Amino acid sequence: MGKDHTSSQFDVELNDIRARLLEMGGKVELMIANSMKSLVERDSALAGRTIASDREINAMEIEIDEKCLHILARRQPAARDLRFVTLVLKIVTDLERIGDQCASIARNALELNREAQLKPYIDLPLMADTVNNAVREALDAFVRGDAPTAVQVCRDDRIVDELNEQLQRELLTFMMEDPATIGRALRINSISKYLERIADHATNIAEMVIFMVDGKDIRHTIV
Amino acid sequence: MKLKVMGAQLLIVLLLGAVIYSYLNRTLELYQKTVVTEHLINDAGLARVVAAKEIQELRRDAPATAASIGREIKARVTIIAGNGEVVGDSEVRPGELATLDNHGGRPEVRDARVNGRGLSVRYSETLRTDMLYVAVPFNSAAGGSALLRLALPLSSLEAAKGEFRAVLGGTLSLAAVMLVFFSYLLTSVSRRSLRAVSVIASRISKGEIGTRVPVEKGSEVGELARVLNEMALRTEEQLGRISAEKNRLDTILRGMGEGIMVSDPHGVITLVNPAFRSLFAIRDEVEGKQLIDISRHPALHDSFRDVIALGQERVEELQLRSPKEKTVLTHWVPLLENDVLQGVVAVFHDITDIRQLEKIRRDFVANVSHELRTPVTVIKGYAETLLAGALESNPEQAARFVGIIYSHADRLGSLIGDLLTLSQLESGTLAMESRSICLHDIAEHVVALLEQKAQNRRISIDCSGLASAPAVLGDPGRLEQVFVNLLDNAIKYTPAGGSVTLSAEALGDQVRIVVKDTGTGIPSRDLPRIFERFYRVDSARTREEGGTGLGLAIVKHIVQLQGGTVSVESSGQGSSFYITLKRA
Repeated sequence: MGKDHTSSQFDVELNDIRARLLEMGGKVELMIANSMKSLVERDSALAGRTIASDREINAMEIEIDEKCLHILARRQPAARDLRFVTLVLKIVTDLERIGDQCASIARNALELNREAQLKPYIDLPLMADTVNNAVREALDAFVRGDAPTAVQVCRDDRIVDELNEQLQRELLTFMMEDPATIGRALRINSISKYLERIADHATNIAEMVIFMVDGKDIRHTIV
Repeated sequence: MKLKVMGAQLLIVLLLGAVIYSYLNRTLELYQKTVVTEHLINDAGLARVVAAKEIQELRRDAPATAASIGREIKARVTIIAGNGEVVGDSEVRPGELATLDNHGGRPEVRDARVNGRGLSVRYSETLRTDMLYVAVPFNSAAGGSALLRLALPLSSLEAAKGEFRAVLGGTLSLAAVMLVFFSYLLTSVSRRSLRAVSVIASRISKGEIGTRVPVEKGSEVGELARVLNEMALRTEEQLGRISAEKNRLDTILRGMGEGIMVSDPHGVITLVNPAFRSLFAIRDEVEGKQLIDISRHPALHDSFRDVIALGQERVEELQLRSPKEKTVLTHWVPLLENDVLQGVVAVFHDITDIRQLEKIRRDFVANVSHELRTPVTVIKGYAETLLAGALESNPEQAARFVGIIYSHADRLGSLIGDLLTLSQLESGTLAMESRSICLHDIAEHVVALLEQKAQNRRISIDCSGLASAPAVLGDPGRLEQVFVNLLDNAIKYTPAGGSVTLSAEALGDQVRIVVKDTGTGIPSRDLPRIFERFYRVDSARTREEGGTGLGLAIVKHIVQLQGGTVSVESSGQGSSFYITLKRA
């Protein structure tokens, strides 16, 4: 970021923000994987740790927010740097929301682990993998300033949407056949929804990366 | 530079010349004047004596005396009477004497009257030149007092001086010109050799370290060139050593199976090796990038921060998720230089396989216990019932129980047999023959063994594809076991009405045997693991079929011990097992 600044302290601050944001991204990626692992491997201890780590994510959001506001107030960045700082402010919010969804998934996993497994989890891990890939690639695109990857992330959102719908239909048949499964099916349903929302956040990040690289706002358009 | 040197030299010569010139000029002039004056004074003394003797009557003898003395001493001689009237002059005819004005007021005449001798340098109106006058009084023979004056024109002196000046000036200017010329010549010679040295020095500095300066013996540049050459040689040796060292390090780093990463204290990566790149699936340059750009794994950054903060080594196990699930043992070492933290070296050791093996071993123990426990429990249960009285009270049921006990004991026996075989195969204690085997013979023998079972399930076995197969090298007994295990599996997992086909083909110096069934197939995610001990695709069903879960593991071990390979392909339409063996 900003190679041409005369003030090297400014560079250091921008770089620090960038590093912290990526670290937060790394933590969120781990949370997605762990929340799903706690469900598939019925590991309630891991679910507990995942829920706890949401606090770290929240703290990081506040920290990065403060750093950004500090830069805005003290340095009055212009052009590219201003775009970068506002972008970070938005990405941080998305990452924090993803953290919340992961904590929710882990909470549902805790409940599900108390009962017998309704069905083998096949679609959910697949969805989680796709979603985690989307988040990873969105952040990678941010690291490399790689607009084509970001565009691909936006496109791949559809896959998750389809998986979500497919799973919902399947759960519906379970519920119709046996009302005793309704509780578990609803939990699985909400996990699927959380994953779908995480994918939306990844799309948001990717759209902002495209804005950062190309200066083109593609929000609310079809790519 | 050259001009400066020459200018300074020229200035010195000119200054010196000017000083010498003016000093010599002045001294010479003074000396000449003194000499001439003294001569004239001496002459005047002589002339006075002569004149005193010769002149009887002043007015009558004076002109002749003046003329004769003047001829002898080559100077103008004037005889002046006491009242200042000129009575004789060597250069003025007697008749014209009267036209001359009175000389009584001339300075030399006045001095002579007062001091007995008068000296004066004046411009003579008569001769129109600077003249030196010497006047002395004398008494003529007749007794009248008079003055004799000698005059010498200074023009001859001036001429001598002019000549001297010309010679001196010429010499000095010649010296100046020569100086300029030689100084130019010398400076350009030394400049040329200096230039040559500087050109080569700049080539050396640009990296042409092998370049050497030609050494000119005896010149001061020669010494410089020698020193320069020595320096270049030293540098070349040093560079050679350094690059050899670097090459060695590079080779070591390249050859290492462990990933290496070196970073500075701020997390900027300065060095990685190929193993690190493949571990993190890095394609582009990473040197100069931040660690966070390579991987966002939180544990990686926690370790890095800890090492930087504490300056202590750290060993940690890392679960990498992307690009692949991997277990990596990381060893972090702070890079200290004079007790100042210069960065961090991290070694990444991929222990995924080791962990996998450990897991398999753990699973194996658990599986063995489980597999053994089931029949033992059954046997124990039925034996207890028999002991409790069923033996006497219900002989019919007792017979059935004994049958069950027998079948489970049989199963236990075959399980233990398989385990023994496997452990023998693994430890290499099993003697293996290696001789030419006809595949068709063995296959026919095996098919005969399994025919009953196949017929029960209405499965046809076709081994005609082996009729023309080339012979292979191996142990017939073990190879038979391979076929039994594979065909037994194929029969078990093929629905009624299906078929099992055996065929073989030569592939270079190897023979590939294919056992193909039309069964249910194996899910692709299970394919890599089916040769593991006790690995079951569907545990419930396999046990019903009475398998031990060791058949394929035994197949793999036997084939590998005979220098062959095993592989499997599967789809919904059945599975194909491929075995390659050495051709006889």
